[in-house]
Amino acid sequence: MAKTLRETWYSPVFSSVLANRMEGLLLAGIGSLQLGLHLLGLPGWACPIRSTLGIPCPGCGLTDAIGELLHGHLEEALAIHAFAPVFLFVLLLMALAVLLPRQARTRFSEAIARLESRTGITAWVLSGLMFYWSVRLFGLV
Amino acid sequence: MWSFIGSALALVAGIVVLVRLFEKEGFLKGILGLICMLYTYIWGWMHAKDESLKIKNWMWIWTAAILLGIILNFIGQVTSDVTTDIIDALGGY
Repeated sequence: MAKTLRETWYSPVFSSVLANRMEGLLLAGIGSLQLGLHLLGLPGWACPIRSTLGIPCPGCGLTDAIGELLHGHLEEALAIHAFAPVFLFVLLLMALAVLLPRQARTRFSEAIARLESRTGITAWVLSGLMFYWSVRLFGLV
Repeated sequence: MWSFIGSALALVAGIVVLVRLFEKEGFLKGILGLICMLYTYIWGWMHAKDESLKIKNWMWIWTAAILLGIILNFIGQVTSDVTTDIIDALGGY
C-alpha cells in the first residue's frame, strides 16, 4: 500500500544513512575528498546535470560554498549556496557517526531517527532546498 | 566533443540509477539522490549486485564517464596553461 504523505514526510531518512557505516564512510570520505580537491584547485566530481544540460542541480555550488565557509567567509558562502552550513553540519555528523563504535553509532542513529520521526526535519530541509533551487533557477534570488 | 559525450553518458546513467533509487528507497531518499548525485552514485554501487535493479552496467558506464571527465578536465587545464605560457612567451596577443 502506498505511503501517505504524512508517513513519507516523517519517515527517517538521514538516520538510515548514518546507521549504515559503509554508506556513511563512502559519503563522508568522497565528500571530503571532493572538498579537498576543490580547495587545492584540482578537478573533481562534475555534476552530470550541469555539465551536460547547463542547468544547475539543487546541490550545485555546495562545494564552492562549503569551501568559502571553511575559509571563514560566511557571507560569500551564503551567496553561493544558502544551504552550505546545513550540509557542512551534515558532513560533520556523518564523519562523527563513522568514527563512533558500533553501539554508540546505533544509539546516535536511533536518536536522529526519533528526531526525524517527530519533526520531519529531513523532509523540511530537502523541500526547502528544492524550493530554494527553483527560486534560484528562475532568477528570483 | 568527448567531454560532452562523457557528461551525457554520466547523465543518462545517473538518471537510470536515480529512478531505481526513487523506486526502491522512496520519495525522500530519491530527492536526496537528486540533490546529491554523489549519494546516488554510492547507493548505485552498494546495490549493484542486486540483480532485480539491473544497474551494474549503468554503474560501470557512469564510472567510466566520470573518469573520462576528470582526465579530460585535467588535460584541458594543462593545455590551457601551456597555451597561456606560449602566448606570454610570444609577448601576448
